[in-house]
Amino acid sequence: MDYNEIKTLKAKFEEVPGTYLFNADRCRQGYWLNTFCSSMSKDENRKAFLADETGYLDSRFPKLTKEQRRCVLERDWLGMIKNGANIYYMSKYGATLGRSFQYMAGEMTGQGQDNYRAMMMDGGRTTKGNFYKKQNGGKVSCISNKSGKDFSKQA
Amino acid sequence: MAKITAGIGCSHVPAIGAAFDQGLTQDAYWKPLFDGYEPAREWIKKYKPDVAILVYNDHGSALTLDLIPTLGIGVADARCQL
Repeated sequence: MDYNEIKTLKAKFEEVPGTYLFNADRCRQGYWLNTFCSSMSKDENRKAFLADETGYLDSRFPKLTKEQRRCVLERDWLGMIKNGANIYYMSKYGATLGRSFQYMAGEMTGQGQDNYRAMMMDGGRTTKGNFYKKQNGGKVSCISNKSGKDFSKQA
Repeated sequence: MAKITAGIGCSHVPAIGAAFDQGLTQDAYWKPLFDGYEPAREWIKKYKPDVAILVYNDHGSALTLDLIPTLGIGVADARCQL
């Protein structure tokens, strides 16, 4: 695969609504963010972080960008993904706060945990209208596969 | 000569382990998945293999971004009690 082909492929993945592919670029961008999340695998680090969140980040992870730091402190899960977090590292941070994958997925999709869970139990999210941003005005469709119900968060 | 007696495949979402740890195997969301393990559980009770080779993805649990081997072999003293 030559450089131009890779470039085209990368651009194509960015066309998928609600999807931020963890590629080499995001891996580089998210190195310190993922390293912070990884540090949450140790009990002593979890205790230190929970006791003094900003102190922990400032002293041990000064290389986090301002935006990454904000996402961590505000539990902006989708923001972390956009800024290079990898879900498998992020899950360590989620667990530190008592948050499951299901909760994080519900937050990231804007559906909320209950709606996300109900959609998944109803056959999962349809692919229809979810291939390209231009199909649904950039929005992610929350129609379920089984009954075709819309599980978007109701205002 | 060793005899390969079976190969068992499974979805490898890390959340499965967390659901198991939290006692959610009978939860409506997780039950269909955990029910799927029953035949394998029965099988392994009946035909206890001498050796089980587990192939899995670490998912950032034991290794960090500083070390990502293509392939690693984990070794442990403890033996799983079936």
